[in-house]
Amino acid sequence: MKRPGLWLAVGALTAGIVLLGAAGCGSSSGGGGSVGSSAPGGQSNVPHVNGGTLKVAAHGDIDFIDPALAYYQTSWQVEYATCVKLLNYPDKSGDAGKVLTPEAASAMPTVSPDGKTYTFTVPAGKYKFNTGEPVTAATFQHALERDLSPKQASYFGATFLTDIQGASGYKGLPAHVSGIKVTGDKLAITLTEKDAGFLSKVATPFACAIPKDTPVNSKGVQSIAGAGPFYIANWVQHRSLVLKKNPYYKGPRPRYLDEIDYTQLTIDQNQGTLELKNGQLDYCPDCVPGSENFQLNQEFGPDGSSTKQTGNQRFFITPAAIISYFALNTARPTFQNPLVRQAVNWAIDRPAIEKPYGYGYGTPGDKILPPALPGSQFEKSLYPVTSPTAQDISKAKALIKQAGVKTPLTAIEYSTAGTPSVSQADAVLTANLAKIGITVKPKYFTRALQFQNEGTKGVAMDIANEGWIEDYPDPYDFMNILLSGDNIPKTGGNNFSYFNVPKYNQQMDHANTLSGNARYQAYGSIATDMMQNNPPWAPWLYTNNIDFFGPKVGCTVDTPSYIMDLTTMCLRK
Amino acid sequence: MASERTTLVPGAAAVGGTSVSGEIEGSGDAIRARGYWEQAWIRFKRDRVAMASGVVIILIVLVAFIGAPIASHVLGHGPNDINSNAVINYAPAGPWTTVKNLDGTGSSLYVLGASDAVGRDEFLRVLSGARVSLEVAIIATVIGVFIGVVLGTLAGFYGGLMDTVVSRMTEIVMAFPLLLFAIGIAATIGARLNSYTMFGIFVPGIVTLIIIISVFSWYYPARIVRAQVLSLREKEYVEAAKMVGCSNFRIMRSHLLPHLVGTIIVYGTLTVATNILFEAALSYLGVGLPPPNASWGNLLSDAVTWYTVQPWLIVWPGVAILITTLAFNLLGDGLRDAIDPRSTL
Repeated sequence: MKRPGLWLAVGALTAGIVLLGAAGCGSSSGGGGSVGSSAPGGQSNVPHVNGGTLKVAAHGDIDFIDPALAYYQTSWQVEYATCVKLLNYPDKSGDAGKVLTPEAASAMPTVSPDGKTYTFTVPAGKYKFNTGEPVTAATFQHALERDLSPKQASYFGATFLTDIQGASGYKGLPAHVSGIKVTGDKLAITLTEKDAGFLSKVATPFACAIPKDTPVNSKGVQSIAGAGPFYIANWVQHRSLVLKKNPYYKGPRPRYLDEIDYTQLTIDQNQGTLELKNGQLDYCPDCVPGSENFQLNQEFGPDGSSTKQTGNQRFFITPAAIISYFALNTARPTFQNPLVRQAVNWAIDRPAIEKPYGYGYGTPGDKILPPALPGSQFEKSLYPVTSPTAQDISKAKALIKQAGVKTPLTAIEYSTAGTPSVSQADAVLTANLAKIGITVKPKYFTRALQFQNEGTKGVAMDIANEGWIEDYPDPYDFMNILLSGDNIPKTGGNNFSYFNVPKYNQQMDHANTLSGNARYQAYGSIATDMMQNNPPWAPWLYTNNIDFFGPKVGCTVDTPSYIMDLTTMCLRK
Repeated sequence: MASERTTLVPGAAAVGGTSVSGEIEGSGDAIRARGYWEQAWIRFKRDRVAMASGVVIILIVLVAFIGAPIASHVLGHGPNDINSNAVINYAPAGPWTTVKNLDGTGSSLYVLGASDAVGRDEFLRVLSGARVSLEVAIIATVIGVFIGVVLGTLAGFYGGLMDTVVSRMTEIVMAFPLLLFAIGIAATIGARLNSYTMFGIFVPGIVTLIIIISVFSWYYPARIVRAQVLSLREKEYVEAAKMVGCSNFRIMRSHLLPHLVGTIIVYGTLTVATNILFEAALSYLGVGLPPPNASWGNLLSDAVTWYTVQPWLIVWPGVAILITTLAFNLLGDGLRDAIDPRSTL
């Protein structure tokens, strides 16, 4: 599990600004109170028309339409509407949307007694691509082997599928992986070791059904058939995208629209917001700048003036499984001592750091696992989530003194350039840590360069201003991916605190073999222990999803894993 | 009518004018003819717009380098100091707002309001931005014009291969898409250059901006100077200087450069205005001064975020840029008119 999972630049994430390198989605109701308050999941019982075209735009573009490579949040949103997977999450908000359900598979897989082999039954023709080609067990064998093909350069293959038997050393298609076998309509996947989270991995869009003749292409295919409710009818890179109803789709997922048109993929945020306000656009997942949130909530939020007049709530704030944190580099002298890292957690003013991102951006928090993620309920809050008091600062100073380090300490912070809210949050951090004798020196990079530099072992960085969105609702995706010492490659890493404590590595590996509540409890306990005794981060915010719609949009469902569900959206009568 | 005895004053030719000295016959009062620069100064003084522009520029310089620290002292906080009390409903406080200090020691007046979501003082940041803009624009202009004058003089005087090389270099640089190229440089090596502050004289990022802007400021003066030198080198006094054995360096320094002073001053003044806009453009695009220091460009850039909530934030740096560039442009126009020997008193 070496590659970045779903990370979202906290930096670049001004209310869903840039979805660079990010993907995965995150949101759910249930947990983590939101500043803005709104009906999570939106509204679905309004008189609506069947059909019509939804006019959509995006600010941060989509990266790929190739499921093996697509990793932006907006890309996954499109794939949720166009993909069929072995298992999928329902088109529901809240906890109901986190329940894995068979989709192309006729039922949940049978698991061998040693817990290493999963056997799925995939009835041929239950689903068909928009070309008429049936989805079969071999379809998924091809998709997974394509992900694993080194020439495909898929994050998913390199990160989540390495435990499949024969994956290591696999040379690529057309050869088969020994751990993926198809017999009739049976697909058997054998792992090298038990992984209770495996089913969540094959439910990500990376494991989407693709036609069997889809070639290996590390740059991604430019067109691809879909077996989901919709398919991608046209994509002009960086410009536009059109989704149309899949004529062969017979599955249970709802779909009201005839067409979903992304008229612009890199629209200016202010322009997008104006067009949404005026009804020229129906939806834009990442258009609203944080500075507009307060006003939009006043007008279009649950108690907004316009909402009261029309009964149509258009602005929604929904808690999501997204964490914003400062990774403290344990491999460099400044933060080598756990007491100094504890001091940072006592000293930072989490609400003040959040403020530049705008109203409703998130809820200040100090846990590794955001409340919208299973397992969070078992992690204890240990540090101030309100502005630190004089006592908190004294405690932080005492910890620094106890650590025996010489102050002032200098901490080089890597952050995202070109986003005022990020640099303003950095200013608050700088002021906070100056109080305890730590001089923060921010360095700004483009988001891609920042991520690349931070992930290079030996980098001269002490603090990484980072964020992470779930790939799927499981604590493994946060803990093992971001904090395991086994996940520190020379380049391309995402354990930005370079946290490598054998005790925790073992505990996390063990937790991954557990399932159900025991799994969540184990991860929650590990996270609590880490933050109490050896904090790798200073987490500061549980980020929300923020959605603003045009006046014509009726049905909206904010799913936990794929933000706003395009499939269930409809136009009002 | 009294007749005049006319004497050429050595060096008068060097500034393109004729100085006259003599006395009115029978009066016994010596009269002194006006020198070239004196005439220019008289002409300049009569141009009220240019004079006003000069005064405005002096005021801006005083405000930037002296006024800003005084204002900081009086208001009790600096341009980069944050104050969450100056953020109301997640938006910066408006103009003329009194805000409680964070440490609870009273309150401060935010004359132009807060500039952003962490409550920095817009007034102090506009003043601080003035210093950045002037430092960058003036130093970059001086460097650019210096390079341009040296290369233009060499090309014009020597001609031949030297002229070909300089001319082709000029054309190559002119063919570059400047803004894109500048953004490219700033985005790649800018972060590394930002650490150079010339022993703390400048805030981080200024050296980068100066280098980038200088690189693109030299070719116009080079072309103008080259053209003038091509004409001047054929003058009799240059030939005379050659005949008496003056070195090329001396000819360029003593007989050519003085003729170029007027042009250089006028062009330099206009270039300062252009460079202020260039700096603002780079900062606006996020490749100028890194946070938290303010420049007019990044203040404008940040203000766009608040254009529906606090539209004034666009106005303040915008007006500052407008006034300063206008003043430099009008001053340049005035100087050009004043220095032009064909102008009449």
